[in-house]
Amino acid sequence: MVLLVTSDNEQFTTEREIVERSVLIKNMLEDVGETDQPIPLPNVSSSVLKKVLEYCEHHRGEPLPSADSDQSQDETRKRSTDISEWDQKFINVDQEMLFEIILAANYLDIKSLLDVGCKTVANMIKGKTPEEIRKLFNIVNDFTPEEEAQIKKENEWAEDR
Amino acid sequence: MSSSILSPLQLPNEILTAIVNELDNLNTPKTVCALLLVSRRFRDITIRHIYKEMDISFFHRKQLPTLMFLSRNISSNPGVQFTTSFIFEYLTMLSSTSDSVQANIELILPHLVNVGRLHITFWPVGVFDPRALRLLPPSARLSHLCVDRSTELTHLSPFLTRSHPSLETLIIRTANPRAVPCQPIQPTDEKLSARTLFPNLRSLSAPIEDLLLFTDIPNSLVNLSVAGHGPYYPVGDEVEYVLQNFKGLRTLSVDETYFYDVLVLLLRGLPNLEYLSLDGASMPPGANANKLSLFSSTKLRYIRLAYTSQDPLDMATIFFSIVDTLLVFDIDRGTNYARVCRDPMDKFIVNSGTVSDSKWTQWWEQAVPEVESFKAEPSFVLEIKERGIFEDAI
Repeated sequence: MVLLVTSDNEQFTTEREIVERSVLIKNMLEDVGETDQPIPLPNVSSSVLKKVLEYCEHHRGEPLPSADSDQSQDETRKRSTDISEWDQKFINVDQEMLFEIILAANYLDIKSLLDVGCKTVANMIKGKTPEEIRKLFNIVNDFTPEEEAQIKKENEWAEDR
Repeated sequence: MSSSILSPLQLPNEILTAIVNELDNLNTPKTVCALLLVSRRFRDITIRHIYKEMDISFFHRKQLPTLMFLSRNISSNPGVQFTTSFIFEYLTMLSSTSDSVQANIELILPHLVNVGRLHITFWPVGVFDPRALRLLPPSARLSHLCVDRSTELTHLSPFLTRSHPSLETLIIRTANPRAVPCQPIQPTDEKLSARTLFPNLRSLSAPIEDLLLFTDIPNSLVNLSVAGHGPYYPVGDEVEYVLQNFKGLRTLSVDETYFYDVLVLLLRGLPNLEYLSLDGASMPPGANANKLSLFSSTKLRYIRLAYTSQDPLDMATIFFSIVDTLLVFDIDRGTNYARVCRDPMDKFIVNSGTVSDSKWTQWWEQAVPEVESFKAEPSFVLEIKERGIFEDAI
C-alpha cells in the first residue's frame, strides 16, 4: 500500500497497482523502493486526488502508453477522438474541477487522463465563435478591433482546410 | 482547493497546445481559427499549430482574394516562421487562374525560412513552374520535395543543382499532356550527380526518361518510382539506364506507364526487389497466371496494386500462387485498401484499412511493419475461403 498526502494535508492509502498509473509516482516508488514514508503531493488537493484515484482504480491493469508513443506517430495523422462512456461520465464535472483534473493529470503524468481532459475541453470549444469561447471561460479580449480584423483576414486561408 | 475560479489561461502552454491538437482532430478548422481571436495568449499558442503544416487547397476562383491577402501580407505574417511543412494544391478545372496562383506562391516561398517539406500539386489542368523554387531562402533545408505536375524537369534542374544534403524524398511529375505539351529532357542538359547533390536520398520518383538526368546514385536510395509520361514511350535506353544505375533497389513503383514491356525488363534486371507497386495502367491487359509468370523468378515480399479494375480476389490468388516469397498483397483504392497477408501458419488473413492521407508517408511504409513481422515460408497451400469478407473489405 502507498500513502499519499495532498496539499490540504489529507492522507490517502491506496494500492500500488492503482497509483502507479501515475508515471511520476511509479518512478518515485521505483527509485525509493519499498517505503512506509508518505508521498507528498503539494500540487493536488484532496477533492481532486479523490477523483484522480477513482479514475486510476477504474483503469487499473490497462497497459500504460509508452513514453514515445506520441513521437512514433506521424504528427499529421489524426488520432481517435472518442472518449469511452465511463470516462465521459467521470469527467462530467464542473469547469473548475475539469481544469484541476487536467492540471493534476499533467503533474502526476497520467497521459490517458490528460487526454480525456483535453478532449473534453476541445469538445466544449468545438463550433463556438471567439466571443462564445471567451464567455465560456471568462476570458477578456485583449485585442484592438484593428488587430482582430488583421488576424481574421490573414488566416482566412486556414478556415477552408 | 484554490478559491479563485480556474480558467484555461491558468493552464500551462503544453496543455493548451494539447487542447488545440485535440480540436484539430475534431476536424473543425473554423473553431481552430476562432481560437486565434480569443486572446493574445490563445493566438500565440494556436498560430504555431496552424502554420506548422501550412496546407492550402485551391478549389475555386472565389478563394483568390484570400490567397492574395495571405501572400501580399506574408512578410508581416507572424505565423509563417513556424512553417516546417508547406502543401499547396491547385485542384480546379480552371486553367485561367493558374498563372495568378503561381504568382501568389512566388510571394510566399521566400518567407518559408524553416520549411523542410514542400509539396506542390497542380491538377488536373494547371501547371506549376518549378523555377519558382529558386525563391526559397537558403535556410530552408528540404527533406521532402514533391513537384506534382510541372512542365519539364529542365526547369527544375537549376534548383536541384543547389546542394540538398537533407533531401530524402524527391518526387517529380510532369504535367498532364492534355493540359500542356511536355518535352522530354534534352540530351544536352547538365547531369545531376545524386551522390554529391543529395547524398541522403532515399526515394526518387520521376518520369522514366527524366531519370537519365541523375547519375552517381547514392547507396542510401531505397525506392525508385518510375512514371509514364503521357504519349511518350521509352525506346529502351531509359530502361537500360535504370538497370545499370539503380541495381541495388529494394523498392520499385511503376505508375502510368502503359507499357508492360518496361515492367518485364525492370523485374528481370533488378533481382533485389522486395517491395513492388503497380497501377492498373502498368499491368498487362487480362492479367492471368500465365501472363504474370515472370513474377515467379522474383523475391518480392510485398505487392501493391493501385487504380486497377481487376478483381481483387483473383489478383491475390494469382500472385500468391506465383510468388513464393510473397507475404503481403494490397489492393489500394485511393482512400481504402484491402490487405491479404500470409501468417506464419500459412493461412491467409484479410484486413482492410484507410490509406494514410499524409503527403509524407511513402507507399510502401504502411506495409513495412506487417511485412517485417512475417518470416518467409517457401511453401504453402493457397487457401482463401472467405470471399465475402474480402469483398466487404474492399
